[in-house]
Parts: sequence; structure tokens; C-alpha cells
Amino acid sequence: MSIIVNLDVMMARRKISLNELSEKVEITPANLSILKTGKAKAIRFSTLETLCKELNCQPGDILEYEGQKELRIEN
Amino acid sequence: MNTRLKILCVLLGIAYLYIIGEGIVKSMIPTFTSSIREEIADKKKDNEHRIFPNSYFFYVKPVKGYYTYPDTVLNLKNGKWMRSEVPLFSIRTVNSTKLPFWLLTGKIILVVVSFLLLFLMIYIPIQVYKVIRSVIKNDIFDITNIKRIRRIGYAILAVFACVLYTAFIFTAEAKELFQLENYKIVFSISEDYYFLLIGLVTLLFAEIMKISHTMKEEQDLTI
Repeated sequence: MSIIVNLDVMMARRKISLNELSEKVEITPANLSILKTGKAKAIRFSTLETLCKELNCQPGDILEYEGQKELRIEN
Repeated sequence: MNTRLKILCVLLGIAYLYIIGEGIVKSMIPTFTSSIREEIADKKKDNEHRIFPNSYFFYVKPVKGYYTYPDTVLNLKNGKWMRSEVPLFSIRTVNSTKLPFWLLTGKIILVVVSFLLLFLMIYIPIQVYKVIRSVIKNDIFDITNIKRIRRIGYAILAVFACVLYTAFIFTAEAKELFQLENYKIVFSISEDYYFLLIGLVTLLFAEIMKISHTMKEEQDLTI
């Protein structure tokens, strides 16, 4: 899939562990791990909203479209 | 676990066992025991005068078309003769006519087909049992389950193909050996068409299950 989840990068930047974040956003560590490893097929707006709120970031910081990288290099 | 689904699975299992059991009790066991009895009776006869009769099964149609009733049967309740026609003949006779080569080859293949049919009759209930067991365990949309259902579908279609082949060989052999007075021998597989129907429905069901599995997987992986 061309959508990359950069949750691990944001978590590292905010210096927050998976368990800590899962408690804050009220998502099970297993589900958060699925999201972090890029195995997730979809993400709810509500989940994205809580993640952005806790990590103090924008949706674009968590999700990235792979094609954009190639576009930037071409430009 | 959905109780209704559980009950349906158990009912399906019972229905399946009944169908198979009925076939064995009504058809296979009487044929087997009567042939053994005949064999024992034949052995008592003088070896030189022993005869080896064969059984032939074939469908017939009155020469003048259906519903012409070329035969008569006696109603013992009132002693009256009634007009009748027979759709299926089971004949047991000694035959010395030499069959053509292609028919002999076909009959040899029929032995292989019979073993295949026997294997399928054992294989299908085992697979059905495994599917029912996994449904009871709540692994309904498991990919192994879907593969099993698909295999059941193909196996049922294979049973239909075997039945079709058997009927073709039996009819061809009967046409080669007999010519009846009021009837002509016709190719028919009678009610065995339901194997084709069940096989296709099973395959369709497997495809629906596959789509459901994909949807469930997407649902499970939506965070």
C-alpha cells in the first residue's frame, strides 16, 4: 500500500512508549501495534483525531503518501 | 456464538448423515447381501452348470412416447389388470455377446471411477464434519474453512461427473446388448442432477465466504 504510517517516528519524537500512548488514546496495545507496523487496512477519523491530540501533531505527520517522495525528487 | 447457526450446523450434519445412511441402508446393503446370497446359491450347483449372471440398470422410454402405458400389472386388492409403464429397468441375465473394444475400455475405466466415487463418498462427509466443527468453534470466516468448502464443491461436482460417466457406460452397454419390445433404452441420470446443483451452490457459497473473509479482515484491521 502506498500510504505509510509514521506513528513510530512521531512516538520517538515525542518520546512516548506504545503502552503509554495506548492508555492515553484508549486503544489496545495490540491494535496500536498493528497501526504502527503498517498492517492496518484503515484508520477511523476518531482514532486519528485522538492520536493527533495526544502527539500534538497533524494527520500528515502520522500518515504519508509514498508517491509524494518520488514527486519531490523529480521536482 | 450464534445459537441459530449452531442449530443449523447440527441439523445439516444430521441431514447429510441421513442422506448417506439412507443410500447405504436402502441400496448398498441389500444389493451386497443379495449378491452374496446368489453367489452362495450358485456355488451349491454343479460347477459345470454354474452360470455367472450380470446386473444391468438402464432407463427406458416407451417406443410410442411417454404415457402410452405399454405394460400391465395386476392389482391384487381387486384382481384387476392396470396399464403401466416402467421408467427404470434392473435386469439380471447371463450374457455371451462380445462387447466392442471402446466399451470394454470404458468398463475398465468405470472400475477406477467407482473407486474414485467411493473415495469421494468418504472424503465429503469428513470435510463437512471439519467445517461444522470449525463453525462450532467460531472460526467461521477462517481461510482454511473457505478452502474446505471450495474442495467440497469440487468433490460434489466430481461425484456428478462420475455418476454421468457411469450412466453413460451403463446405457451404452444396454443399447449394445438389448433391444426391448415396447421400450427404447434412453440415457438419463434421473434425480442425480441435484449433485450438479449442490456442487455449484457450494462453490458459490465458498466465493461469498471468501468475500466475507476479506471484509472481516478489513474490519478487524480498521483501527
